[in-house]
Amino acid sequence: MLRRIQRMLIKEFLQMLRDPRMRVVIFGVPVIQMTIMAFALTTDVMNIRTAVLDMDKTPASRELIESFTAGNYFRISSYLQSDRELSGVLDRGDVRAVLQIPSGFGKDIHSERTATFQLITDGTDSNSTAIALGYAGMIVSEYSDARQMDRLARKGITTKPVQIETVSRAWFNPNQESRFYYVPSLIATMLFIFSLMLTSIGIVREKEIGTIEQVMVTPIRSLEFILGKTIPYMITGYISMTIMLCVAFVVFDVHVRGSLPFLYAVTGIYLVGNMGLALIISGSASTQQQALLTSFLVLMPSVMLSGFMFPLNNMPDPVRYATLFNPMRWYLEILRGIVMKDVGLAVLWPAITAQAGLSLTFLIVAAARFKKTLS
Amino acid sequence: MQPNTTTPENLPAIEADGLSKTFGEVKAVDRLTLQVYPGEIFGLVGPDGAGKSTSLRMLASIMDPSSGSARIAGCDVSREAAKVKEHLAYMSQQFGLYRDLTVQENIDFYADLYGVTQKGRKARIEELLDFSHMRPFVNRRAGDLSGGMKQKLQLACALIHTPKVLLLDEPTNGVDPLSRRDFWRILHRLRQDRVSILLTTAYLDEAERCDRVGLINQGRIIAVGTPEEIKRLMQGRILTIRSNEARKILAILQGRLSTISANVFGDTVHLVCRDIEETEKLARQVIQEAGYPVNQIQEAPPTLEDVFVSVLGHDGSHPTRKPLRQQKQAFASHAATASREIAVEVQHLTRRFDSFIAVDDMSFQVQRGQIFGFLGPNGAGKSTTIRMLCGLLRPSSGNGTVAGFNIRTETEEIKLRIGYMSQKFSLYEDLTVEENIDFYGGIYGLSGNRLDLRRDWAVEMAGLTEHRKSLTAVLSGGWKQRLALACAILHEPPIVFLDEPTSGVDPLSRRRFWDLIYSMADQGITVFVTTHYMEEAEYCDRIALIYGGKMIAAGSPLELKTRSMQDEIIDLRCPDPQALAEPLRLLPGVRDAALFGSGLHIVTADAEAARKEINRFLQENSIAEATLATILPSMEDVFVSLIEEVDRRNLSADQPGDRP
Repeated sequence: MLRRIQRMLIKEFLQMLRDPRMRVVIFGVPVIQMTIMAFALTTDVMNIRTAVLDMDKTPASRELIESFTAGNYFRISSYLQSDRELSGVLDRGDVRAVLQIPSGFGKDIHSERTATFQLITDGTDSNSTAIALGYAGMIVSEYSDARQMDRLARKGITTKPVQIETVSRAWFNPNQESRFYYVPSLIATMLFIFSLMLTSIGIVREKEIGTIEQVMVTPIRSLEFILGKTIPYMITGYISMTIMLCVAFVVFDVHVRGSLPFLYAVTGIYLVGNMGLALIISGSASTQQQALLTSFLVLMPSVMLSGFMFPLNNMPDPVRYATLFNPMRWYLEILRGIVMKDVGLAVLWPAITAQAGLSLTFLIVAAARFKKTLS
Repeated sequence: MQPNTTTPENLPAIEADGLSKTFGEVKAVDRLTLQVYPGEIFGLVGPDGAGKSTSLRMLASIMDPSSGSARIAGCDVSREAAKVKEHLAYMSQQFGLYRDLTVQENIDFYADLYGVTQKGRKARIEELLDFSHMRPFVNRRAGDLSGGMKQKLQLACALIHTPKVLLLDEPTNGVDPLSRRDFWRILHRLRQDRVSILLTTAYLDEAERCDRVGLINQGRIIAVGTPEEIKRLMQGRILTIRSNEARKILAILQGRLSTISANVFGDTVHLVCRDIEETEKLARQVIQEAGYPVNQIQEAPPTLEDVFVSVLGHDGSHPTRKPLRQQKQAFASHAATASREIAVEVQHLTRRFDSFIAVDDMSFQVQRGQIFGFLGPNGAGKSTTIRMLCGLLRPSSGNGTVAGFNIRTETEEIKLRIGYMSQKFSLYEDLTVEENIDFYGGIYGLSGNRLDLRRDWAVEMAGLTEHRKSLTAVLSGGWKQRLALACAILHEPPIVFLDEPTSGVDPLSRRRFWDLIYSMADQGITVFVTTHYMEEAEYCDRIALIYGGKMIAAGSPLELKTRSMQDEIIDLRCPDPQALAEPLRLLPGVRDAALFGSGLHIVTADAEAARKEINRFLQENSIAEATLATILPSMEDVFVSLIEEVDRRNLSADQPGDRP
């Protein structure tokens, strides 16, 4: 039994390493994807291009503009002369926000009336707009506070008024940099893609060229064949993960805070489940294209509903319950827990139990279906 | 070299002048020069990888030549590709059909592509459906058609516009004899319409029907001429010895006679020799000493296949002989006694796929050491039966044993004792020859010293000593086929199942492969082989004819030829037999007249009466150089007549059958 599995492994690795494309997929793609994606996929909103339409042109309006540019959040890219230009710059996407200060803004402040100005944003990208508006609100309230102080000072009150301040701390990611959030997500996604697609294609390819039939008439058992076919992809999955963790450390300075052996152990549960899924897919596909397409159909919702980009808590209840059956959702929770929070079994046991349950289910279904695959 | 149709105003419709194609280092086609005239069928014959398909692709202006030029109907293929395509129909080996569209939709699609006007279209399609016998299937999806019908549909699609030139790349590969007959009828009709036809084929009996033949090897044309002219290139003459102990006779003759080559075909030994009288004398003497029975010794005219083998197979049958002896040692364990044990037995075996019955109530026995042939068209249920016997597929009902083990319950035991080679030569193309052997050896449980021995044996048997480290992908079909066989029998099984092992392999490789099969049988191995090559069926000890999932006849080739056919066969040798087939079929008492090799086979219930009719017809049409002979039917005659009988029965029994 062991000898036959060993032979399968030798053959699998020979094939894998001989194919230049596979070598790139296993060793190159994780590095490249990781680097590019993690740099590109950032929700940190900085340097928002902003146009200014200052119809007031008073020291007060200039002060307001200055307060906007003081941080790195807004960058003035153009000054408009009239409000006719306004819709143009937004339509073309030249700027993401327009700061419009009406004439009389300075006078209102001076005469201690409520002064208004307008911040128009491009709402097509609702997420970053919301973030930009948040920044703006912060800036304006600071500005407003300063004006208030000025006013009190003029009236001779120098002590600070009573104020309530929130001191917020983001644990596990003090600077709230998105890379800490995205690097583990990317690892989970890439592992999912690799193990699902490569494995299902690898099995279906044997079906396509007919070798599966040739092999099944030998004394080999289906279990040995399955193991021989999936173990190599598990190993490549681990290799890819290791490479990605290294890249994360070297390039992004993201290191695993929790226990590495624990991480590798639970990753195994995830990979086994993916192998099961891949086997199920390869059972229903008879060509490599079909396998690829089916994997893709499984992949898309799994990634989207994993909490990778969109928080699960915001999803409507039925969808949220559906995500309970998404292996990637649980793995992401585990991975973030270990990489960022350094938590262990004590905290992660529900996720790990769910993950293991799913993996086991997939395997049972796959084993039941595999016999059919052959005939 | 002059085609018989040439008249001064007759310019060649296909003209290649020094056409060459190189892929990197490899010269796929090397200075190909040929002309095909209107109304001529030209056959390009050669082993795998000889450059046949590449030549056709260049002529079809699909591929640019590296050097040289070619003209189709006077238009240059590289400079006037658009014009060329107006005059041309091309059929590649891959199916250019849309599997999800129906027959009608496929034809309509091609009609649109070629811009056939609505006016002429209907009549043309009707005509095509008629002469391809496809009318009953217009609403069937192309993917559901049998191999032969797909080929015919593809030809119909290619002919939707009236081309001057027709290029066909192995059009009848894997097609059953009945469809092949239809196919040749269509080609003949086109030839009468003065279409130039250039085709490649692996069936040499088809090559004999061509007006001219070109033998191509390693990209180069080595001979061109009518089949008769080509046959004169044969080195040496052929002595045939018919005997029930043909294989034993070959064994004792080998080494005793100085022949160019020696092969067994069924119950006949073929000796190719320089001095036929001397050889005959010596052979008689040797056989007499050994005391084997001999039915007949006579000289036979060479067939194109003999020429092909003698011209291209310089290393002919010799390389296989040496490994064979070593093989004997390797298989010694099974060579024990040639007792009449039963190796395979099935009773009422049936397999259904949903409502479709692939194998219908089949029962037969195969004795140990026998070569048992399973003969039938594509889709007849041959592979399904083999897969059930190998334990890959569970029977729906019925039972059977292989090597004494039940095919339902003891599949694991069976798998230890059988070798199986599937249709597709299932090798890992991205592994080397040795890695493939090691892999299959490993999963058969061989290791260490035994694996080393078997690896050496396998490499030698497949004739791949110089290619041990080559990637399997670069090997030609014949080599892959032998390697696949070697891998399937690494564990020295007593029973070997070969599913269409010679499909798509050139004649030279096919002969070598049969040598291997014979040597396995000699050592007591039971060989169960499926094929759709009729002549291969004659090489088997026993055959079963399979059609529509049912076994319609079984017996030794001789039994089938003498007993199972009620009709008689008259062989007619005459010039231009294709033209005579139609009128002869209309004669009273003639059931059918079909091309066979370079002549016609006429099927009749009463040979005496029919001969009179045929002679009268020949005289009326003043055809002088014709010879008539009442002969033993060939396996193809038997098969076709049995199939037609089944179809007739089905037709009268229920709705329109599968075949019009």
